[in-house]
Amino acid sequence: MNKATFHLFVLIFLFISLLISCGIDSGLEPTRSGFRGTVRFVNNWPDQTDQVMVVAATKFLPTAITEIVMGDPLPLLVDSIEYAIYTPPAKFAAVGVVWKEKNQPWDVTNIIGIYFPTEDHWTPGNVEIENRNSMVDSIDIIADLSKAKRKVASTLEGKLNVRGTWPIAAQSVLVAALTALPSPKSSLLDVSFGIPIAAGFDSTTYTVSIQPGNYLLVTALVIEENAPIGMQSIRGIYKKKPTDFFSPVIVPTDTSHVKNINIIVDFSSSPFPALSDGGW
Amino acid sequence: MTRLQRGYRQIYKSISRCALPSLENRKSARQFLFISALICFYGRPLLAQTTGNIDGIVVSENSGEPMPGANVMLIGTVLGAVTDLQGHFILNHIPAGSYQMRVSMMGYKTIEKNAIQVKAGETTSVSLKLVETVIETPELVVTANKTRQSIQDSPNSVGVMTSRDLQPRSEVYLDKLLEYASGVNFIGSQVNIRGSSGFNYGAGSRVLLLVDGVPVMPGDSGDIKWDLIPSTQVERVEIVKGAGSALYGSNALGGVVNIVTKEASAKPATNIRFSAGLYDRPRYPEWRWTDRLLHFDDLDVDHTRRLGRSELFLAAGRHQSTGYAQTGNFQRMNASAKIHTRLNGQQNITISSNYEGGDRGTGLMWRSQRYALEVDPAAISDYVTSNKFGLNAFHHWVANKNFGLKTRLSYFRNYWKNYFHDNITGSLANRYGLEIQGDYQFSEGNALTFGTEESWDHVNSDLVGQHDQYVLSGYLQNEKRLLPTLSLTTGLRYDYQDVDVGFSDSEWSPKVGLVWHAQSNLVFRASSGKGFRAASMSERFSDSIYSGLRIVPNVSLRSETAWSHEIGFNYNPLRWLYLDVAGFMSDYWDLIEPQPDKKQTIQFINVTRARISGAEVNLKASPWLKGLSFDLGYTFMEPRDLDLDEVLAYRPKHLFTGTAIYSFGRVDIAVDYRYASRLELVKVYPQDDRVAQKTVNSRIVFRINPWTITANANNVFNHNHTQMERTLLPIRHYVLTLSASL
Repeated sequence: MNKATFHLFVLIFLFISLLISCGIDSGLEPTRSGFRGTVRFVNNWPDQTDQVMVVAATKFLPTAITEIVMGDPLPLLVDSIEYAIYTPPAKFAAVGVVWKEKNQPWDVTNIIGIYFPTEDHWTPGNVEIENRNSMVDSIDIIADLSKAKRKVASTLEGKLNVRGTWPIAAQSVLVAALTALPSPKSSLLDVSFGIPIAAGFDSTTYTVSIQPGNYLLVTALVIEENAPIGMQSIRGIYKKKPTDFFSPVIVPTDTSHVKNINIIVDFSSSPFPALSDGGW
Repeated sequence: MTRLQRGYRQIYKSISRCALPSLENRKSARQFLFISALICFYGRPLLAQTTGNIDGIVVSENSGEPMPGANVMLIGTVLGAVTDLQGHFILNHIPAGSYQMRVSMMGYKTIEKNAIQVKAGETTSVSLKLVETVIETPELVVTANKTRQSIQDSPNSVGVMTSRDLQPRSEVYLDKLLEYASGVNFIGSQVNIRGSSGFNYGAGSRVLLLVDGVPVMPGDSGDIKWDLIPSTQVERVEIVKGAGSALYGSNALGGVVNIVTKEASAKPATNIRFSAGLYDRPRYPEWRWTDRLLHFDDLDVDHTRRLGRSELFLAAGRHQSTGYAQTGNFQRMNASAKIHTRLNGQQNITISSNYEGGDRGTGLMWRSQRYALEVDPAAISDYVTSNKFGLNAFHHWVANKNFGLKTRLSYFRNYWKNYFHDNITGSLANRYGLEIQGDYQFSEGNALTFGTEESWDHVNSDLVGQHDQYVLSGYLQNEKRLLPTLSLTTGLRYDYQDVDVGFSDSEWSPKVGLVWHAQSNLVFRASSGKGFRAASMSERFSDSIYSGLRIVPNVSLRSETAWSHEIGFNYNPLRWLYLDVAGFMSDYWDLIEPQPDKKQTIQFINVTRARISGAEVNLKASPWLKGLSFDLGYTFMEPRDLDLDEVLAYRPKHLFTGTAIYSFGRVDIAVDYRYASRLELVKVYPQDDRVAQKTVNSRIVFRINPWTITANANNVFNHNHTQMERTLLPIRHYVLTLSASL
């Protein structure tokens, strides 16, 4: 074997060794699965709009950024726009449109539209992407720009007092204020949610940042592991007097701090016994 | 009493009378001055005619060519030198006597010359010949113990990459090069040695970066700016693995990276390097975001010469790229100067400065994996303008053959301004540092290193506000030969940190190490040391919106701490085989991690108790054929979050680097392969696809004196992977480099 042949042999050996060790795969590939649809905007665009985007949440309500997939920012000041979100196979508990105010961070609970596949606007539609080539169509959303929540100083404040024993699956408690009572004509978008409070307390205080307005119902929702949010989640209602079924709350201005909105979280009985079989 | 002793006494009296009015201060200052005077007193013989000089030359035994950059040490003293471009060195003011000299250089067998006689008032000439070894093993390092020592005498694992490893790879910035050192991984720009670091949004670093021994961590973000020194100005990089706070203080939690820059030389020399490169098209049509030709080019020039009785080194460079991804473009300039002056035979001073600045596009993350080389359309015009400036003065005084004193004064300035579509923010961080280090050689096998270090960080930033932070430290280390083949290293450092908001913290960092030369070719080592990292100002004070997420301050963040333990050996059983094996375990407390809360607000808090254990194997071999060599490194890690009983996020379990080089005639052909296993856990986007990193780079180097032509093909197989989530690493690209030493 002459020298040149030997050099060639060494080079080929090195090259083959590397090919074998590499496994010759290509690594990441473009995502080809996901879902798409149309977002139709209703009402006027707020001046403070910075960005609007479609997000999908593996859990509703999402409590961490790790539970959501974000799309591209949508064009502003349009009536409707087609969108597509490419994401690996996953099952999403909800798909919605989130509004971001100028000079404020993203708040994934600032939802102005949710995908509802039926007339029931209290139950977000699930979207399941089954495989890497699956593109789910017609995930259409109506985004109501009047539901955009500006950054305000106004708050609801009060205490949560627990009666009975916490369910084993309880994870957190959400205070929710509703501008309309749950009915076929109202929607999940009529609800303002507070920040989840970890389960297990006997008594705690809460503060909910809230837009000015009239709230017909202020409730405490207990979020349980692997269970959807529904009427059964309501374990406490704000009552000004013990004899009230529920009591409305008025937040007059965007600097108002409405205090003493105290709620008893009662695990021994349901505030809506007749409706406790799920769904809003 | 001699006239000199009377002189010292007079000076001591005058200073203590005039400058120190208070009794207490006078007492302590008198003690200080007494010690100083004592040092000077013992240094007195150097001034008398009881000393001589050694004038030497080091050449290659094979070719007879002079050997520049060889390390010369007089064993049992603090005296030493590095040969200049003509292979020449001088050691002055050596007390008369008989000495043993050790000469070492990477790629050559270390030699020792005995019975060198130094006579008073005379110069002894020596000529030393180095024999090339079959495999290149690093010889001397300076970082592990703050003194020059053989790598085999270090109780810690030390990785070394020399300019011969760096230059042929044709990368400008060191982060792209250091990932070919074993046990080193990157998450974005955050360096991770043996799993020490995760992803911290660019805030803080668990690895300390030194440039010529001086910390260069900006006071605001506390992270490493890898563009500070281009690789063309680097002589070598030393990577000390494991906690190193016993000598270096904060940030040396997971290790220390010391960039040793090129030395000025008396012989005029000019180096020019120009490289130009092209990015290939992405593998998938969905990822093709432009029809433009994506390219980059780098121009670096340096020159060294004598200037009076000084040696001068000047360097400048321009680096620009269109980027391979949207907003990956940059245009940067740098300039450096270094002047080395021998004040007399006992003292020399080095003043160096460097500047780096320019603009850089800054798309933080991809738009989606569907469009992995594009960013949020709103952020297409986002960019950062930034610059860094460092000024250092280093004074080395060899008082006598047993005692030397090093003083380092440093200033580092880091400025940046983000021009983002939704906000404009800026920051200016200044760091002032002083270190005084003493080296005392009691006897041949007993050396003491001690010193004090102070730093003051002043930050004025839109993100963290205006703040000051002070650190005061003292350290002591002893290396003692217990038996002819067994050495013990013990050390302790105290750091006191004071932050202007009334927060203060302090840490004691001990270390202990053993080195046993079981045979001439088999050395065992064991070490245990503590490390800590004080929170950076951006972790403590950040109050901003980053990628749409609000970051809130946590003023009372405690330092995170670690204990690192290591046991290992290196074995050189055959001329063509070198093996280094280490087992390691690091325990971490109070790790500072960004913690998103339920409202997507992020705060840095002390959360994690963690343990990382593992093993590392390095193999250098040159079997079968002259000119063919392999350099392989494998690291296995088991990173556990002990609080959550889960794997630690952002740490690969397996790291492998391999380089094969075949040299024949004037040509080198080389292939690098790097593998990092899939990250088992990430925190920000866990639902994203994740794959292992597999990169193959190849190159051919052709030398026609004085020119060197290098052709590189990097990421040959166009493997697509990320380190930091949603940031695709460079796709296949080709580089042609022309360099010359004139």
